[in-house]
Amino acid sequence: MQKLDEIWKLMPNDVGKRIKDECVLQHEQIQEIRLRVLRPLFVKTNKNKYFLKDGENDWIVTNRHIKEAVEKLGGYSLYAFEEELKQGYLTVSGGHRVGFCGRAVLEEGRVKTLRQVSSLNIRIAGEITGCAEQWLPYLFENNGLCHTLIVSPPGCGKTTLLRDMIRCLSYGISGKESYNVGVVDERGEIAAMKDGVPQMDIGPCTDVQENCPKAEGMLSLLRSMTPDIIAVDELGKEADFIGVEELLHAGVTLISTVHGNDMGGLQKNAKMQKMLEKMENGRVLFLSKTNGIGTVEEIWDTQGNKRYERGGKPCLLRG
Amino acid sequence: MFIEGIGAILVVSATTLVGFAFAAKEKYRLKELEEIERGILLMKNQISYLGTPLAALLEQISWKTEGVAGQAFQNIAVRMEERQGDSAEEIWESTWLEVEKKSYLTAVDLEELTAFGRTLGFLEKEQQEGSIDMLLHYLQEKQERIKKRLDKNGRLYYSMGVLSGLLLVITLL
Repeated sequence: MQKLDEIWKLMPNDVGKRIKDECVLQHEQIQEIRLRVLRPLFVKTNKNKYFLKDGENDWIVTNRHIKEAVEKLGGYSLYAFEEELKQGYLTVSGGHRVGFCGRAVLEEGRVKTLRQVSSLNIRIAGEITGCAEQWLPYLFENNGLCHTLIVSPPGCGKTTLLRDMIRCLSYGISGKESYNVGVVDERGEIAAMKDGVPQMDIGPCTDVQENCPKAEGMLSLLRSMTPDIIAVDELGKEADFIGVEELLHAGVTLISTVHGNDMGGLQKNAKMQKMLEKMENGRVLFLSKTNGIGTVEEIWDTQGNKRYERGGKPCLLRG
Repeated sequence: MFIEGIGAILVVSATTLVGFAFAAKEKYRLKELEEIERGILLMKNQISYLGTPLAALLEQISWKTEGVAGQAFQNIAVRMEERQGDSAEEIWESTWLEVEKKSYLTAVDLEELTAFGRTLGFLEKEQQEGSIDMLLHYLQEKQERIKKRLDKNGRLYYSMGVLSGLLLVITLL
């Protein structure tokens, strides 16, 4: 059963009720809710994706719905979320991510904030306990954990897999020792912290640096918490890679996610290629949605050997 | 004669109390406006320097303010945390209208407070600070006026109470 109470609190009452009637009562797992002004309410579940109906006609989202949802999502305090609005997304209680689209207000050529929000995309955070367990053996070489990258296009379950890897390594699951894991949770999606307490199970030996830029957070954790592993979500900015470089020199194991499709695509990205070269004997997991969200397609090592292929035999698996 | 004496004492006491009540009403209103101003000033600082969301900052402010102001801030914080209203305006207005019955605030004071509530929730930091300044200006101006009025008329209310009682007693006797 999905824990969606936080989401219903943040939705206009009639929108929440409509979705509950249509999807929750049908025992579907909601993955995404999209509200667009004067267009039908869209819901994507584990079984289907559809526009909700009001009798014969589509159930139309009005300006009032968007305004009310924006106020509630921002805790009636938009001034407190200017930075998030500028980035175009906000992570709400429970780790669910809300993307905004509207009219950008520019200052000196840069986005200062968003006004007249016209579309909202609410991505429901999924916690699938145990989803990483079968892949952990591929991440070890001579009983040592390798640097690991989880790669996929958006919406394929990178963060969910990363969160469960953190949990497994923190608990010491699969007969492995327990590691001290430092997490830089820039967008609050991994641990979904509330008043300093993680809302997701990330294990007993995990320290979370919340709401902090990745590069600064990684270095801060390195100095302050002596972690065995540092986990971050969605590397992408120049500064992130500089932070990673320092981390790799410090002998801490990195587990991270990045957007991408395949090994060829990663190697075409100069920053990524440089990072892969520095990750000696690292592992790269590629995810897709082929057999549902979180399908592991391939696992490579950074020397260019394929260690696993979906449908094929696992090769070069050493513990 | 004995009964007349008791009656005279009761009449003078009653009119004196009415005089006291007139002065006290203004004093209590002043005290409430002072508490609201203190809360709103704290709110401004929290928004300007820390960017704290309304529910959290109103909760903190409610611990530092007394009377109906503290009660109102507390109720608003809880309702915002629970997302009980469609908008901040709705929560702010309904809460102040509820505490109105227990307070000495006038209809004009409440109108200013609800007008401020209409700016809550959707403004950027600078705009929110501007709307807070407008409310603070009103609160400070009202307090000045009440203080002047109390200085000028405070004793007059008491004296009027006693004297009108005496006048009534003399007339009736």
